Amino acid sequence: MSKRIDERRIEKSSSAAAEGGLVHGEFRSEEFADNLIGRIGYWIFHWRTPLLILGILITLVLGFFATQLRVTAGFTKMIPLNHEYMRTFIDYQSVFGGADKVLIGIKVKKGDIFQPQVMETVRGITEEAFYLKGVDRSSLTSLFTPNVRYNEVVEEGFQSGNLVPADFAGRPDQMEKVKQNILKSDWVGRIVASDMTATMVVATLSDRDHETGQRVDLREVGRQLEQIRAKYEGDAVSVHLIGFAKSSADIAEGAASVLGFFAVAFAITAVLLYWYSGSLMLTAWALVAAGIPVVWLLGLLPLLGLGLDPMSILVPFLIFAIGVSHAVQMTNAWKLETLAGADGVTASRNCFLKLFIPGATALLANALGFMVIAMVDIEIVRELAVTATIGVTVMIMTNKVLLPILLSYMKFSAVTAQKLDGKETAGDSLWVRIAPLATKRGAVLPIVLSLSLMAFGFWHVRDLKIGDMGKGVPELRADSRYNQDVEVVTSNFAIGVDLLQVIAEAKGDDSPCVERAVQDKLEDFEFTMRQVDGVAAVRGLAGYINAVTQDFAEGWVKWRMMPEEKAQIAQGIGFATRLGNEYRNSACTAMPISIYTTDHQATTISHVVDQIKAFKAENDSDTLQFRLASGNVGVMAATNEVVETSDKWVNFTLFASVALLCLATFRSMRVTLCIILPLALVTLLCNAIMAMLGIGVKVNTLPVIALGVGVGVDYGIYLFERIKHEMHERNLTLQEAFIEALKQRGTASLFTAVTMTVSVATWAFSTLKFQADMGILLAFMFLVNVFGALLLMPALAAYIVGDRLRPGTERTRAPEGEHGHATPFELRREHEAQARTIAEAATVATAK
Amino acid sequence: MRSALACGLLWAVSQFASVGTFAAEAAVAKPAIKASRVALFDLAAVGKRLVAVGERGVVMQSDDEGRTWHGDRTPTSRALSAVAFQDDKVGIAVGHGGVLLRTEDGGKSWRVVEVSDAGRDSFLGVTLLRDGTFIAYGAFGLYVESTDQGKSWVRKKVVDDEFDRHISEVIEVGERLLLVAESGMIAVSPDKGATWRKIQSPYEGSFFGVLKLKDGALLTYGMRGNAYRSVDGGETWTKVEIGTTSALNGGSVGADGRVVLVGNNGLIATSDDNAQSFDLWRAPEGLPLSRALIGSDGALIYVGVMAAGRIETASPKRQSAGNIGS
Repeated sequence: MSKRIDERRIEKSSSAAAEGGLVHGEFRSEEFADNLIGRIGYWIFHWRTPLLILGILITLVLGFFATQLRVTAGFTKMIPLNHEYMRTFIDYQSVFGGADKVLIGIKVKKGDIFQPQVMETVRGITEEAFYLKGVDRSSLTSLFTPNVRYNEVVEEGFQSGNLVPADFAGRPDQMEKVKQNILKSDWVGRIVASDMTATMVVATLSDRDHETGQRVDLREVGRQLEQIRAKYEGDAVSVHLIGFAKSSADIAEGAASVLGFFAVAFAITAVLLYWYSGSLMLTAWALVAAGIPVVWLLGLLPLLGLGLDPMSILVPFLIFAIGVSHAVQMTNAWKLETLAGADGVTASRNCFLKLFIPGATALLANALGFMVIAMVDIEIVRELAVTATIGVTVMIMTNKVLLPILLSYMKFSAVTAQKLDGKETAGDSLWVRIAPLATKRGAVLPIVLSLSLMAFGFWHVRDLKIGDMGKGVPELRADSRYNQDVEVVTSNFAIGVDLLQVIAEAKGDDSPCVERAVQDKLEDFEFTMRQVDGVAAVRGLAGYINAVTQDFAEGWVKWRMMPEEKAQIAQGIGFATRLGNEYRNSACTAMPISIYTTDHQATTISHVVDQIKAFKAENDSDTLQFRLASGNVGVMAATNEVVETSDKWVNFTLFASVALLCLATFRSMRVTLCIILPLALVTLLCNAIMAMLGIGVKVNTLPVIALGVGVGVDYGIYLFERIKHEMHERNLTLQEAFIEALKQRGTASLFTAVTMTVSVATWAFSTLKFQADMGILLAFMFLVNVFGALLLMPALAAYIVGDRLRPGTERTRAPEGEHGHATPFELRREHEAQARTIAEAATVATAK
Repeated sequence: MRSALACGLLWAVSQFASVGTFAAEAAVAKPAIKASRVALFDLAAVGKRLVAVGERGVVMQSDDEGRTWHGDRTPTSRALSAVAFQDDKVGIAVGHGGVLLRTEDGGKSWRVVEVSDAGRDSFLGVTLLRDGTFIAYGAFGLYVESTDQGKSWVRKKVVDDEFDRHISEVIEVGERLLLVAESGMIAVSPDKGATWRKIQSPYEGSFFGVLKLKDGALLTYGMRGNAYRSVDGGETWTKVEIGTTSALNGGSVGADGRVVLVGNNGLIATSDDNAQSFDLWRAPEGLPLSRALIGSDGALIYVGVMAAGRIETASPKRQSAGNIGS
């Protein structure tokens, strides 16, 4: 076997020697194979100097643009805008306010809120909240806003007023009056804690700034909120900031800090590369080749009007990791060529010819994997897909064009190369040892093992859930300041932060909401929802009318009911108009019912949504419809539903497209199966691990599978390309071809798997829980996929492919060695040999 | 090729197995009604059982003195405001929209009894007199009577021809009926409601109920925490200072004579001296309570708007209110 390798090396080195001094001279098209790749190769090497200069220029220009890249976060980007629920949300966003609420909790450290200093703080924070970017000023609600009133029944009728009178100056008698007003109002538990030790300032944010019309950058809002906190938090009170804007800003800040890990990943990769190649020069070129697509990508994004968000910020890591993977294949092959005696140009040219097909195929597979994610109808995921696809596409340019050009300028004599202490051939003895996996006997163990892993995977994957599993904001860690703030607010206020709004739409002329039939349904809905597990409280127009009716009956509880008469119903609605649009729109054709849930765990949400759907099914009519859903939980419900439907399609399309790509490359169903099956097993195991770690299928985990498969397929493609080549061209048995493939590509594959795993594993230290989750899962996918390709793929091949790829056995199934006549393979070998002789002769002639 | 096919199948299965696990569950079951999530407007003891009625025709029952509740909707969607039982089988529940329900199985099943004379006016109370007559009364002077265990009802005029006030409660005091109503109206009837006499009212606001105390005195209560006590069968009344401005929604007298009044904002007022003085405290829900009873073990059982609770201690302290609900 080793004899064969030696032959090959001598073959190459003789050709290299024949080329002699020709290093920087012109290239001839005869030196390149007479096919498309050959022509591209010729063209690239022919123009290598201008191409190199162009490449450097592009890198400089894009590097400049990359400095203008911003990390952003926007609300509508993260929601599935085309989902039915979100249409409701958008239809009524301007009327009932968005799901994007800012809550500023003010918790008193000692005593209650009825202290002049505390009241002054509340007033100050209210005023500052007025100037928050994008704040809907009419929605601002606190003890000091005019929309917060109490209503009291007295013998003469009603008495009402602001909780804090306009002339409030903090005198003790005024303080007592405020306290009594609060107790009379229904704001206890909403903006004042029931033990009077905390109060809240609440406002709704619009997606766009009402002054500039520009999309509100939530990071800016987050910074403003932090300024408020810094100004007012002290010995007397603590300030707690929650709401979508704040959590998004915190996530964006955390996302930006993850860039620090890029340096770590870079350093680790550099060390590993040096250890592996033993050459500073090769290490540097691999890093440069992997870094250039990152620069290009980061420069292209601002040009395309895109920014990085907390999720797509991970893409540069990935691109770098993938870039390293391909660069290592290239430098590895280049070094093997030089070890065999070739000069830089020849080695570079051969590498290009050998690696272009598998490399480009693998990168296309990556790009496909990324594009598939774009099926998820959520902008943030789409942008991730676009970003990643751009990244991989530019990598075909940089890695397959620029790197060979760069390498072609390198001089690396066979002697120096031999001295280098690289690890490229370190695995050879190991490869020989695992080669028996590619025989039917040897394949039994890995296949049995895989089957049991499959059973294991199926067992655990049953526990896999869609959506969030933890409490607080799942993107952030449980001990983050934000999630602690959530804890403070939810424990001090009766009404939680998790809100699902259903909009009841009534049709009819002139305020259909006063119809008793309409209000009866609303009352029924509120009542039914109150009984549902996971619902903490329900607020709606019907309940409000009932409470007003009780007030009109001098406060007697027995009159807390829906009146029979339109006039009385209208009376209740009249009171509701004083609360702005909280309970109805001005035409009174749409009435939001606010359902506060105990948490936003996926199971809670789906249970509540199922109950709403059941109610809808029974009660929706032409005149009254209940529409899902607004509020942050409404958004989550929609997102969960989109993720759930996308999940199967993403997986299906992903595997279908990767399979098609393999089919196109290898033109063999059997080979395709051998590559796909290990991937499918690893995917299943990844899902099982998610279930075991309590990670739900979410917007951020959706791309993991796609990225994992897109990248994981590389190993299979690189290896099988060689196996097929060796079997087809040199008539080796599967096992022999497998060893050859492993020797040429296996070490590099294993090495790249390790570097990529290390690279993404650094995310595990991110302040963001979802990045940590993605890092762990991707690391798993990257690492285990290479084992799938190295151990399971040959075993499958032993049964599925066998020796079919050998020309001698393809059709005739003649026993080995019995060649009665020249096979097509031999004819082709002869043809190639002739061509090479001619080419060499020509080169020698030119050299002379 | 067979093995290839088999592998292909395996792959397909592995892809869709993960999907299959998320498949929709079976049809959605309606959630059980929780006593603490219903607006309950009246509470009555029927032997050892407790029956509470409330919004959307809901009747809740408890067999363990308010520790746990179970309930269901009845044939009406109107709010039920009051309930009274003749024995452990036959009972009457009344409500808004002229709704009157009757049970013959202790409250398990209810049937609507048409009371054409009531129209769509609200019933606010129902009382069983000692002779077995049921009276039901409510808005705009509505007053109906049944002498056949609630199967049929006849409207009667009360007080006088012009009377159109909301009748809050009618009780039997000795041989007389005592009626309290809206706008401080108090009236007595010596002849089972045939004739009535208005009594000089001590208060212009509305009364929401009246209790017969263990020492023979009477206590009427109503809006803004007002309560008046009479020791002469209702002829004259003196104000009892309760110390609240919350409406007093309902009351009861325990077997040991303890008086319990409940009101809005979670108000509970108890008296151990026949309503001459009261202890005040707040139920944790902070919402309107409608009625509280003293259980056989001395515990206080209350119901109200999204509130159903039990307070174990025999002498409740201000902060010790606990919520059991169900």
